[in-house]
Amino acid sequence: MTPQAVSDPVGCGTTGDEPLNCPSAPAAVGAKLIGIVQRNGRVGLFGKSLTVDADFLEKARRGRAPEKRFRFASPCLQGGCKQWGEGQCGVIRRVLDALGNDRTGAGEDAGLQPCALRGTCRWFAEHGRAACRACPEVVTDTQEA
Amino acid sequence: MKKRFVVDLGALEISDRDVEQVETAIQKAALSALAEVDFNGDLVARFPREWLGLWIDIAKNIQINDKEFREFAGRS
Repeated sequence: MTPQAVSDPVGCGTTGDEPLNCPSAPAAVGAKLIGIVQRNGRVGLFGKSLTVDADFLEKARRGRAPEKRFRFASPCLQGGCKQWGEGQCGVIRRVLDALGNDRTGAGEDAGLQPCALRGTCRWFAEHGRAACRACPEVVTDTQEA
Repeated sequence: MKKRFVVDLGALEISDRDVEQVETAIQKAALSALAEVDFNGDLVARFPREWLGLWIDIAKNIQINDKEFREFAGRS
């Protein structure tokens, strides 16, 4: 699939003309809070994103790294990001490779979690529903503390 | 079960600006309450432990090449 906004995204209610966003961005003022990492390690995605402000960031940073606990979105930098390679996002490619089709449900038409970002999501634009199935498995920062 | 919180102001006649302010305040309150949430879900091993997110390539973003970078760092 061509890495660009899709014209008929799944249940997102957007036109697809907006710039694409990275669904696994660092916490920063202005970024969108799109989900929380739950006890089972899967991300619970919000139906509507919340815009991160300085108060949230200050409070969130008192605890463990926000990127271990939440998922944020911000504009995709494409070649300005070290994860970019071969004209696409290397993160979702690695994740899909790691999970394999059995986990991403490729070819199935099962329902997807509601998502605030889908219409402008880089991962969805590149891999469609397979990305949406894999997305909740992704914790941005799993590095040792 | 969806976790939606509704503030119903009924037929109250307020300006769009006031509505916007109320919405902003509600979002701010939600953010503040969520900021301390930590389910330790990241401890469930799934992928090799790494950074799986946007990673700004500083050299590319400030438009310098490797040669310039080495010169800047004092290494030729």
